Amino acid sequence: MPVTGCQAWEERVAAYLDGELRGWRRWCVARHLARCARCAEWAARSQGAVRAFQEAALPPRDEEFVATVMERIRALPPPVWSGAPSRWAVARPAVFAAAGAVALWLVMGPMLAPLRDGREACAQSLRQLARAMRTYMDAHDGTLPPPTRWREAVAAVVPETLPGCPLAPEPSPAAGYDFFTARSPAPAFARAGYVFDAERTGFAPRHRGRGNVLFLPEGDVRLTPRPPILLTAGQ
Amino acid sequence: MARTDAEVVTAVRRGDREAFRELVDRYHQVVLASARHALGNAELARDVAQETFIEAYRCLDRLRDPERFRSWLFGILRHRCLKARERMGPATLPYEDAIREWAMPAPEVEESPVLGCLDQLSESDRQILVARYLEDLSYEEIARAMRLRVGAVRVRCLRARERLRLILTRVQAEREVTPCR
Repeated sequence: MPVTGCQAWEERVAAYLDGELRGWRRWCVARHLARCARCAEWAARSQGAVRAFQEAALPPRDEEFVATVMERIRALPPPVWSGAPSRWAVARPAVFAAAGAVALWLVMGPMLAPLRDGREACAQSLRQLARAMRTYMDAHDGTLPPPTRWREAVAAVVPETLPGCPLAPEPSPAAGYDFFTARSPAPAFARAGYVFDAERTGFAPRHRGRGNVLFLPEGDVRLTPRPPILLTAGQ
Repeated sequence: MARTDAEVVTAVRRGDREAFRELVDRYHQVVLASARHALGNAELARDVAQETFIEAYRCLDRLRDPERFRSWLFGILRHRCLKARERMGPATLPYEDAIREWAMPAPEVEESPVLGCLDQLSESDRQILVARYLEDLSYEEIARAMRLRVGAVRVRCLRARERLRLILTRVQAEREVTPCR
């Protein structure tokens, strides 16, 4: 590039001449070349050199060469690929994906077993808890225990009814009642979240906006005594 | 209207063997020139260029994107040239031939002054000039083929272009007095 002030444009002008710039960048260089006579002159001489190189380096058309190549190609046996791509080529990605999934299942299956077992144990505990809650409601005209009576209400079912995710009381003086925290051994189960449905006296998949939602890391489950009870956990 | 590379490739894959002629016709000059620059021997370059087209035809099913036939073809050529150079070994001549060549005057071949002066460029400059301005590969394609970063290709192209310009300017000035070779 001819002058120091235009050194910064060096690369960009060359890229522009090579057709490598698009949009705004291309427009900027074009504008610079329109305004800077020295750069424009350099660009013209540089392009001239490239054209001279292209003209000199390219040999004339060689029909004999083309004919020889085609003769050799005609002499080849018919290629196996003639026509559409082979079925194997089309099916290959799906076959590899299926094989990968099977291999993954074989490797990961045993690792996932404890999680599956934990999920089942925890689900069983929730069912038992739901039964205990229903028992309480039947004995109290269909009402759920008030916060201050929550501990008493679940005392009968804790801890033996919750082997899958044992509860531990966590006093909360500010709230005036205890929280009950449990650790779910099944993260997938915990992430789903379940809400205690007082009308159905059972646990249903979580509904946003209903009751107490407590997300705790690493599969912790926290029960709060405000009806409806929401059991949830996860990330 | 001429068919695109992708259209021709599709036709050949469907069994129209003669359609391949269009591709040979379209690229044989550039392939011959590139091979000649890479090998420095016109006869060998011709053989390598032929083998390149034959291999391209035979392996056409391996070309994933027919749009990129051009860069794929030059990839084959580059590989073939490397192999040929390995087979050639270092450029040596038997003693008798070397003496004869030294003693005899150079044949009067009308060669372009530009081509003659390309010898003054470095190997890497020649490679990049051939890839960009003969094979018409983009910076990205060159980067992939030469295992460089696109930024490095951009800088090399600029330098090679500038050296070529300087050499041609100088040679032009000299030629007013004496020919380049």
